[in-house]
Amino acid sequence: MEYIINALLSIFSPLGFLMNLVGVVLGIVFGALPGLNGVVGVALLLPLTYNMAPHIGLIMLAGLYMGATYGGSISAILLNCPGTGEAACTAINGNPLALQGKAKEALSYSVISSSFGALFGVIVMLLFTPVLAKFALRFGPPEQFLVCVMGLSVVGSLMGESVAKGFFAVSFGLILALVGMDPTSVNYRLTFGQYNLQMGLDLIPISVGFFAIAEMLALYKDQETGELITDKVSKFKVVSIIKDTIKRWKIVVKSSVIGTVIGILPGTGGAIASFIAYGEAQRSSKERHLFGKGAIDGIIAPESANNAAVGGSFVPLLALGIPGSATSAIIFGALTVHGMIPGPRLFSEHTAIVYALMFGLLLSVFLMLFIGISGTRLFTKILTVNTKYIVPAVIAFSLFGAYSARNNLFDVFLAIIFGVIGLLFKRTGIPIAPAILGMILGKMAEQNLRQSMVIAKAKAVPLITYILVRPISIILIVLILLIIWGNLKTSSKGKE
Amino acid sequence: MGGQYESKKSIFVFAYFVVLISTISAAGTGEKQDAAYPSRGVQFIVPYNAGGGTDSLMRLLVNAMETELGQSMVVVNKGGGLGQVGLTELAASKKDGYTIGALSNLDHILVLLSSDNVSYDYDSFEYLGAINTTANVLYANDKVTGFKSVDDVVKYAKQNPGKLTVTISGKTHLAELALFEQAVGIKTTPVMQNSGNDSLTAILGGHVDLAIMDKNFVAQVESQGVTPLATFSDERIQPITNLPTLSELGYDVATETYRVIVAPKGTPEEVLSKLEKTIKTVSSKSDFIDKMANMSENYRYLDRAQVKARLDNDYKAMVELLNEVPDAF
Repeated sequence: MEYIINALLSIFSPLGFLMNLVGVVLGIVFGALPGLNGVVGVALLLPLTYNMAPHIGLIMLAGLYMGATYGGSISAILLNCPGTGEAACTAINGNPLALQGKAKEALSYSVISSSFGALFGVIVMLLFTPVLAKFALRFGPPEQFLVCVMGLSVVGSLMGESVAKGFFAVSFGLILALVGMDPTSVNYRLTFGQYNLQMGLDLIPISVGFFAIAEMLALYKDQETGELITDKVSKFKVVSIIKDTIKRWKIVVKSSVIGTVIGILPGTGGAIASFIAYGEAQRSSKERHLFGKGAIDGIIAPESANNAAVGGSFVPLLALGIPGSATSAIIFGALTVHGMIPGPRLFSEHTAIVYALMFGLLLSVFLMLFIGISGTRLFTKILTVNTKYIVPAVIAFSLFGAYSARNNLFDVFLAIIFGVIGLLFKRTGIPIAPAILGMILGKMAEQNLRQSMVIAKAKAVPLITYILVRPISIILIVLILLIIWGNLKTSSKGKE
Repeated sequence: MGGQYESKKSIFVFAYFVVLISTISAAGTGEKQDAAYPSRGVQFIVPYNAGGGTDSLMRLLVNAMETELGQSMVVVNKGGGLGQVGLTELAASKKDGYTIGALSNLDHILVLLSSDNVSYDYDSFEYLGAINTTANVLYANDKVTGFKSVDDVVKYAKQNPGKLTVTISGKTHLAELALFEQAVGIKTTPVMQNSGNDSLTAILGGHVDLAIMDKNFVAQVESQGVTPLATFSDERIQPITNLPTLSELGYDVATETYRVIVAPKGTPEEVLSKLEKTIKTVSSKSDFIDKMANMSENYRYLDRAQVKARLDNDYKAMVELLNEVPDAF
């Protein structure tokens, strides 16, 4: 109890509160800028925390992580340039809404569902960390592989009109994931004698190219000059949006659960969570026919899921010292700099700091909600800016983002090349989101499948038996079949 | 008419990209050199990603060197390919002391011996010194395997060749496992992961039998059914001095990991000796050593001659291993 009071005192101390606010605001900015994201932001601010009191530094980084996960949806909705992989799904329905003059509604749905998801994830983390960490460990290579398959089965929801084009896009993404180091033999493949390709293709330059640069090139081609939308942005009441979100509680809660669970699994992250939640929402939503054209459920599901994953990703970090996502891996670094070793003893040895981190995250949810809602008016102003200013600005940020991911000029060229490829995709009606999904999941799926093969061989059991005869595997298979069945049903209905 | 407009537009786009890219590439290139080194900022290439072990340690060092040299030093992370990406750039940079960097001993050697398209070689760098030493440890999931000692592992492995699964991450571990197998005369099945954290997940979950991970994981696996069995280092290592080394137990394996500060070959001698002296001065301060200890890093200083001798030894050992086990890594 004493620790809780102390933690509350420190998060509401002027400095603690200020740093949390700074973290959330910077996070939203980093998330919203194409090419920058939570990982880059946390890595950039990490050195600043070396000289701060540990709990203050951690609160700032955690706030940044939280804010960045939501921030990605802003550029996704307004410009169709998802700032982060987490927001890729949000763009599919968010941008059509913005073009219909409903940008403020879309942004409000995003921040409200993000906040709910975030709150859900943080509360689960606060209450159940030790139990859930044990659960996460039961996911071995076979289970992790099936989670990837589940993610890939969502592709049916992202295809748009043509199944063939959808499959082409996801295969393209899977092939991109193969470039670089073979995860099992650690030898190189598909590198074409280029040492720059040996480290593999990074997600940031590719998604920046595919989404932001391609979108800007298309915008530049389509319009001479002018504003993004000519209609006035419609008026609305925040209260009615909150009420409507509450009406859709089933989808919010379900997506938050998906996000938290995926977040807890080590090595996953918000992007996978948002894809799976999106697929599930499309399967079960009443406004299924609106998906891709501006379905509210299509914003709520990925946004609640990716923010729920934030809290989830701290579960294995705090309990076992295993980061649940790339961003929490850097926060892990911040802990060790202050002489704290994440793991079973962290909680007993540094109780006050862990509580400060947990409550700091909780506070950052409310700060994010407040900034997000009061900021919608400001954010939507970008729609009235002439595109001749927007296009170069977004491209510049995208290229800097692509560079900053690995400080490699090669990535800038990659971003440009993939910008052109993305434009070709758009022109030929090939959806981009499945390609990103394939790229995110390809590496993980391959690595876990091949690890399963190696282990099964060593244990002298058939691969199929090794993968399938496990309790969690059976549940996952049922879920995968449900998702595929849902997709088949939707597509056959579409044809009638 | 439209076509003309289009082509004008395309030229603008092209020019825009050219300006943008040249701005980015121009960042960091400097002017002529003055008499006293350093007369301007120094770029320090860390060929690994931000937040990792090499990065944290080198940022600490760079911070201290900055004060001593009286010039700003900027850490630039260029991760990828076990350091190959960053070192390629370092080897090709100006030999004036304004671009220096760091590397990790075994990764460096293994890249030289086994990677494709390596544009630099062992003699492309001046090895200026080392400030730490660390070692990897062999762990067993004793809940699954019941192994309490290295002898248990060896006994089982001899009767069941290839049956034991060992989670590892990176080529260094692959080489260490090959050395161990060769010394003992056993065969195991390596399971490759992306990072030490992934290995930790696999061994804690009991999905594999053994693990090779950094010594810092010893504190993390405590009381979770995973037991550290022995270190790969030639001497016992702080703070886990109760853990025997493999060579003590009679298995002829000794490897260690340390980070080496390097400059491109051809950098002027007075610059090299100034850097060497600075590294020695700042790292030997007790305050610095305390900060290292806080990060669970063991301080061990090697000067230019010592570090070169160590690296030569490591290099020779890896060449020998490769001669005897051609697919070792």
